[in-house]
Amino acid sequence: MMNVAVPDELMSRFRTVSMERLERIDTAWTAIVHGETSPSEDAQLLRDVHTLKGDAKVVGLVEASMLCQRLEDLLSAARDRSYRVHEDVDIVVTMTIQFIAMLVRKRSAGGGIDLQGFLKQIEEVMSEWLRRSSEAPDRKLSVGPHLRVKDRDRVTESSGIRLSSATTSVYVEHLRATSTETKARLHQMWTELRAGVIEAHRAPLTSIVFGHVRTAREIAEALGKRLTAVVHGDDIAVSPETADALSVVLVHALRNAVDHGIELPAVRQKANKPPIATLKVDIERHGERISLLVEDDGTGVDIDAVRVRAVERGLLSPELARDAPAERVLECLLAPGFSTRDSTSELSGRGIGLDAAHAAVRELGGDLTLESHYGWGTTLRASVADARGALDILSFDSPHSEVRFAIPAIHAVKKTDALSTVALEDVLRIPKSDRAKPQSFSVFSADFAVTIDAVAKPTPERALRTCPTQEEELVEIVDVGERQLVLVRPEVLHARLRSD
Amino acid sequence: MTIQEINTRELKTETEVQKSAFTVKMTGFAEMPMMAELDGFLKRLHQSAIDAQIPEVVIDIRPLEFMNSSCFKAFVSWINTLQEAPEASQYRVRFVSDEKKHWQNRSLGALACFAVDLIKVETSSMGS
Repeated sequence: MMNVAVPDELMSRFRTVSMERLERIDTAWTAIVHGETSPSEDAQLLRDVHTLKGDAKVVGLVEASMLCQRLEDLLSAARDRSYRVHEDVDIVVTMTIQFIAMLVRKRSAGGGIDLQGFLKQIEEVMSEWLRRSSEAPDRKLSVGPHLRVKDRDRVTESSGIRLSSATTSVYVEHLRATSTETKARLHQMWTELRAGVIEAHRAPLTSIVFGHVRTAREIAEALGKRLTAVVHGDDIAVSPETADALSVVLVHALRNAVDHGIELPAVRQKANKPPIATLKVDIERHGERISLLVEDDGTGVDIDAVRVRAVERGLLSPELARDAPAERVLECLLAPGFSTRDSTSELSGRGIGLDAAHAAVRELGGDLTLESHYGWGTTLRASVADARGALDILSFDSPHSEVRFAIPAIHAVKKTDALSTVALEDVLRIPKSDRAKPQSFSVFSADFAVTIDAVAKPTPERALRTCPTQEEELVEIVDVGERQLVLVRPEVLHARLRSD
Repeated sequence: MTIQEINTRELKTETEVQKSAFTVKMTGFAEMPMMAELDGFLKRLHQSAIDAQIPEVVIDIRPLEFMNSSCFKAFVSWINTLQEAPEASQYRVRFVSDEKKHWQNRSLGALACFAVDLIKVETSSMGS
């Protein structure tokens, strides 16, 4: 909306410059999400958006300026996640850039443009994105380079979906096969495809670690601190979930080490320490678990200060605070919002960070511990299971075949005497050979109910989604230990039965 | 009247030309390598729609598995061109999305905000 009469010449100049700027923003964003850019280009992108926001305000394009602010929010959140963004986010960022371009061209959001509706779309994507993320990091903590796994090292989400879907089909085909030879051949094919699916989704952890270490060095330099970083670890590839969780740990651990732990050279010398600090990062794989160690020889944690603050925060009783061993007291640092600092810095010290790191590893069934010697440094150890997402299921043997089926545990199950039941083998066209007396169970939610055959009441278990398919697909093959189960989505089954 | 379709392994279009509307069904995956194809197709579609003075273009993306940001940009560009066309020759655009494909509803919801007077989004299931 234009409230001020801006000379035409100025407006025309603003349009030309802004359209060029928007083209640069669009190109830079595309390059970033495809992993083809450097940190300096990324900084330029944020500067361009910021400048455009200011320029639009000056010429009275309040709506364009407001949208630039939202774009800044989106870009900052993406940057905090090392630009590992969901495709929904990529689309909304791209469309926001296009929307701003439209406002710049047209001057105001009249004539069929629904700015409020568009802002609502951004809000929805943002809130869904934050909910999906293992953490909602504070923007002030995010500085330094961007550690997104490059596209050439990863498979796009859509390709991953296609791979998983095709792999699932091969598994179902193997169940359908009647000859032993075909069954074995298809099973072999499935094993190879599944290994491909898992591998295709892997992210090279080592390059992520080096990126974070590089950031830590830059931060140290900016703070006048000197450090030698030592990284140990083989070239480990992990699932994106594991990479994300360990990335969160590294962000906070390294920044805490550089900001709070490592002292200025003069201070270190006074404490009879070498002026150059040592920062050590080790990554190791132990079977399915990945362990990470971040160690610095800085000032360490003042345990007595933590005891005092823990009592103030009500995390420990005065008695417990007095008597608790150091490791118990250090656990308080993992509590949300805990900080022993009286003032905050731009990098850390706001008491957020270690709790986010802790939450990220716990999300994957992992753990995080701290060890510190006041005056001599801190060691953080994190360990996570390198597996794709876990899913709570209800599993059951089929009375009509050797297949063990499962449904997501969010559904309610009740034994029923209904005669009209569904043999899942019929739906999936798997040969039937009755092997036990069927019992009928109604699987239901608020919207639907289907009755299925099972040998006994489905039992709760936790499965791993090694080959995830989309929600609208009827089946997914999940792992429970070494065994594969055919997960059936009851809502899709219900829809399919209705349409048949 | 025929419009040259996209017929690649990744992405296919099928256009039904009627007096009341052009109905385009898109199938497959619209990703980065398909951007130029899609852009070209939408330009042809636009020109044909203007020439035929048809009141509506229906884009049925229900069978489409995925469309990335680059291809959505091609749609934005098409909508911009349509907005800039003389009002008398403008046509309406109706997108049909699959209610179960969250990405379709989300992305089209945002796209519709560019021109609520010209774009309508309808959701329905694949079977209907």
